[in-house]
Amino acid sequence: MTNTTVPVELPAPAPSRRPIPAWRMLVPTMTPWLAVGLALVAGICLFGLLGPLFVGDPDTIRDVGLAGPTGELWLGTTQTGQDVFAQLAHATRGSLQIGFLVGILATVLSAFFGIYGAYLGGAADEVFSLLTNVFLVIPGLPLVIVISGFVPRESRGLWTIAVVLALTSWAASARVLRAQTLSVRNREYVAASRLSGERAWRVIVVEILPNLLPVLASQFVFAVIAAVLGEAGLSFLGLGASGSSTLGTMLFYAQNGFALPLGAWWWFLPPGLLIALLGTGLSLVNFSIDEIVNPKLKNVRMHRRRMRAQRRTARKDQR
Amino acid sequence: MKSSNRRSRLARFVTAGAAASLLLAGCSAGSDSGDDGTTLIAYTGQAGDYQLNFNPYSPSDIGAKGLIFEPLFFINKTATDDPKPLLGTEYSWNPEGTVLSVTLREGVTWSDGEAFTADDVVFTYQMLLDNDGINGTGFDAAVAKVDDTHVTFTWDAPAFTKGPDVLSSNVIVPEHLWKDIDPETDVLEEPVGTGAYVLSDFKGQAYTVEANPDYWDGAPEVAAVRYLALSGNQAGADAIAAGTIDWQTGPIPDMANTHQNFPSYDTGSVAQNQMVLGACANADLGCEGPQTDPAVRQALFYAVDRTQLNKLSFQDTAQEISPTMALTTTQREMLSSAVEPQVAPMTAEPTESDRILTAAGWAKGADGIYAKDGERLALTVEVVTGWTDYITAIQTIAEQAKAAGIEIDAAQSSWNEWTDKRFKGNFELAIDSLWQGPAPDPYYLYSYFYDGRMTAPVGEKALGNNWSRFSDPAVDAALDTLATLNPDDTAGRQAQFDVIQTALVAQMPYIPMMTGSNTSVWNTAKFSGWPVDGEQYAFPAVWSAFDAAEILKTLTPNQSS
Amino acid sequence: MNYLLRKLGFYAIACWAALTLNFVIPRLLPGDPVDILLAKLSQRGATVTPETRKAYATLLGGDTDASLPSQYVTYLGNIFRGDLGTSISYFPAPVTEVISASMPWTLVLIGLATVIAAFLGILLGAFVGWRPGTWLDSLVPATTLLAAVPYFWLSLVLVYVLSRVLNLFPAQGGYDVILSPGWNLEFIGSAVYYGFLPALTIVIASIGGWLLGMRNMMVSTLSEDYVLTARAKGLPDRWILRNYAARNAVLPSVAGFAISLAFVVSGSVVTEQVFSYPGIGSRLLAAVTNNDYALMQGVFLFITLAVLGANLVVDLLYTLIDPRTRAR
Repeated sequence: MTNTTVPVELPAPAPSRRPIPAWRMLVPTMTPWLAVGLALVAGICLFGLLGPLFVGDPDTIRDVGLAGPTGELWLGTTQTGQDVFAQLAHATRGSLQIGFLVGILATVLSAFFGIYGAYLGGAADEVFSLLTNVFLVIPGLPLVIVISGFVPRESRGLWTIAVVLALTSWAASARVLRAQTLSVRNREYVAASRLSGERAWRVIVVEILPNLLPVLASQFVFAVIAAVLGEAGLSFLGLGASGSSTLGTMLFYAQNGFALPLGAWWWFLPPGLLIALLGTGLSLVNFSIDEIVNPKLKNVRMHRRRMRAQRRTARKDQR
Repeated sequence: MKSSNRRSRLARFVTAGAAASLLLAGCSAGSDSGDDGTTLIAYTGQAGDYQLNFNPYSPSDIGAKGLIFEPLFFINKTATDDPKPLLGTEYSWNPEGTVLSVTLREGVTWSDGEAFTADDVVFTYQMLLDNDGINGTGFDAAVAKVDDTHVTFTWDAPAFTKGPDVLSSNVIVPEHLWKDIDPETDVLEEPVGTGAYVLSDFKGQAYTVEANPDYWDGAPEVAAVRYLALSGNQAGADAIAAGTIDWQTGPIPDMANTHQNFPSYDTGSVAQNQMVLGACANADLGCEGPQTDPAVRQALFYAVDRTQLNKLSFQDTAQEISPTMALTTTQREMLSSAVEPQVAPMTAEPTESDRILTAAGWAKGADGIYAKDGERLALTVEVVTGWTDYITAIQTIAEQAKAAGIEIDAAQSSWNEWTDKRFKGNFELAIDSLWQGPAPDPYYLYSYFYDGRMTAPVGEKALGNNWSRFSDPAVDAALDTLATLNPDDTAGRQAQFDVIQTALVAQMPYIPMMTGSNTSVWNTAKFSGWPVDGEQYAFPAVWSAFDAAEILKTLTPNQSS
Repeated sequence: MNYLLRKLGFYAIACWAALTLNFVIPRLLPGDPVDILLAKLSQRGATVTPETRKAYATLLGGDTDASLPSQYVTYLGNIFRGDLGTSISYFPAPVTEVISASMPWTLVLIGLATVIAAFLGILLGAFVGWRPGTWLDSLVPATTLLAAVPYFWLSLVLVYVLSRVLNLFPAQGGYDVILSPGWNLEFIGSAVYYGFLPALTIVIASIGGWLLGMRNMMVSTLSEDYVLTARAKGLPDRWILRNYAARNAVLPSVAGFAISLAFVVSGSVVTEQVFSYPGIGSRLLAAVTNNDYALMQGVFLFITLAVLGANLVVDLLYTLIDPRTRAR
């Protein structure tokens, strides 16, 4: 058998020999995984955005108590007869709000402390590093209760949890961004830009940021996933977004209403599944973003494609 | 291939690990959960591991009171019997109510063999006087020994209402051991008491007590009791389902059908905690909002559909309530006949609440909610974030109130904040339960929650338990008079109750919802003698120290062949 | 040397800042420990009167008369002496006793589970990265899905299936309560048996992260020039995997691993809730809901020291093992 180190002749690739535009390098290539991920995320977002407009009132109580799915109530009722499907729609909206709020807040914070600090270097960098370390250690649990006490009643609930989750999660990704910035900062074009007298913010926005965009995107997605899961965990402990409806609080009520022991799977499973699907979808999107951050990851896919093409030509030759 | 080598090494490692753990598990599988038919396994609701503390006067006492240490008498709050003699056999008041004489039981020994005498009783009560930190009942009499089996308690003023606390709320401790320890901080690793049980084993996850062979009433038939520490109500419910505990007091799924679902188990409930929507009711003390108008509170009272509330939020375990807050079971005789209604209506009466509101000047707005002088009838109810049964109750009430033109909204906060708000008066309505005193007598509840001197203006912490800021001098005077009346003077006492109850029903600072039950689930296959309907000899809650001790002393194991 | 001193200095400052925050945050909690204790007692059927409040205020609230700054100074001084105060929720047990009773359980369960998850994840990740195109590739999305499921939801379902329905493992507790804790085979066996399910849930939920991280690093390392050179030189595959690829790929995971180990100290409240497992997490939750300042501060102290310590170690270690980070 001939050695396999030299690749067999492949069928001719796509005839275009045009140079690939720069922006194409930043956008992930469409793969089945990415398609699935985007579909999941888009579907859940649509459900959360538009669902509450079309479903019934999630708060109406009915005398029927805990009842299974019927033609009218697709996911049955809770122990007080409330429509689970309607609750699910509102809860999804709540969770998405928290997820994206925390994602944005955490990313902005980590970008500022990570990128700007690393760019400045010197004492400023040390101070920012210090702050990052301190925030890494802050305990989230009592922070939830303390902040709840300070936020006025009207803005309570979602915002409180979002702020706390953002405050306790930005530190980790700030470290990653700082490491990345340090390596980009020493590249030639950045040095050239600084030498030519560009102002700091222009250097950052024009030269450094585009390189970090994929990493930022990846950290953003991570933050959203962590926020949704973190909120679910806090709700399970009874410290969740008080007064608002999220997937986590829905699970909390299901748990306290003894949904699982009573066999009320329609109350307990859907919120958890929805969180899982959202998380999976976002993670799949993150895989594709990872390929941009780390172009060498494309090799896995390319390798598979090459192997498949090899086998195809081998089979064709045999006929 | 090289990688398969690595993979096989990995596989070998994993299999070895699994085998090791199974082996170890096999070693322990031999010993099962110690079920020898005469050990009762109970769960008190202890969340998280136990920290050793068997000092009955410490706030962190985990189980010494009642089981290991006893008081002079036991008062059964679920019935109107006389107090049951424990370490005391008889008691009597002098006519003025300033001297309480108690006869002590003879022939009692401490679990270390020393004899129990009047010296121990005098020492115990003197200890309470000397150490503020442990004097939870506010004992303030002069205690004196008459002879080895008689003691007296002397007050300066009539103290009839302080009697039950003195007789039944404080446990007697041995002088010969306690004179050398600091009663506020000692955790008593080896407690010595007169009770039916002695401590036999302690570890973080469980502690065990075993029957005291020298108990003055004969050793109890349940030879040992083990108390487990789990993580909370959910864990307790799971343990019942798995059959690993014999007694717990707390919600389990589908409570009404417990016996069908788990044939070895049954339930017992007694309703003694009035669930209320307490209002910050007194505008004079700084309360603000529509709830300061008594008409609003009364309207809400009539707007609630209690049958639906009971079904949806409390699994049909709650009982009826009287707006006078006198229990309709044991305190029915003290229900004033001058009061209307005697019992809260079990269905909603929207016409009545309409009438009350319109008469007070409220008019229904375009959105169906009442308004007066530009202020909408919208109220927030404070509740703790983790209390799902109360939260579902508020949601149910909110729907019912909406139909009557009142808007209710739940405001959830952490326990810390909720407690703070209530005591400082920074709330409109708050959902909570009231509780009884040491004896089946509504006087105690009134003195805790309706005494105008036990409160404070909004912004300051309430001095006592009167967090609704209710203040009525007539009620205060009646309470003072009641304290001086002999408990046998039913006519005289009733006159005072009439005054108090008329004021309560008119004002309703705590809007009565339903009387909440505590439901216990217990193992009827392994033990009999539980306090069920008709034989209510004690309050059936595993965490109610003195009642639990009585129950454990009465149970008999059904020895299976 | 200068660099080392500067690093130590900054970590000391971070530690001080964290300790100050740990002092301030508990005191910002609304509510009063005595009120909360009374509310708890009344829930449990005890009669609570103004006298009870006075009694417990005397018992528990002794030291709140001092001014805040002087409390702060005392607090810092006590830390250096190792005196963490008395817990309110478990009065009169000293904080060190409360923590030392539950910390070992947390360290063992969560620590072991973290180590196993990291070890398995990194190992599997190395494989998946090394040999793309095998069935192992499907592990990546599978473990990611498991990591995306809310942890307590996963645990509850697993408990329901494995414990309630199939009766393979006990659902609650840290050990069989018949046995007494001690260094004997029976007790350890029981502890392992009871700890298997909680550990399993932690491993399942967290292995995805390790696997993914290692696999990505592996793939990128394998396409480095030096690996290609090594292959061209004819070195055996296993040699390359072990000495060139894996060593470089594992670097970020080492940092992450150190931090994860440090966070083990904060316990897993959810695990302890679901499995009624003894540990420091439920103590912290109890401390927070009871306004138990001393206990909260004690636990935070451990978390602070552990995490900052791990960070410092990693920072210093990195300059040793990765020369690229030395140049500044």
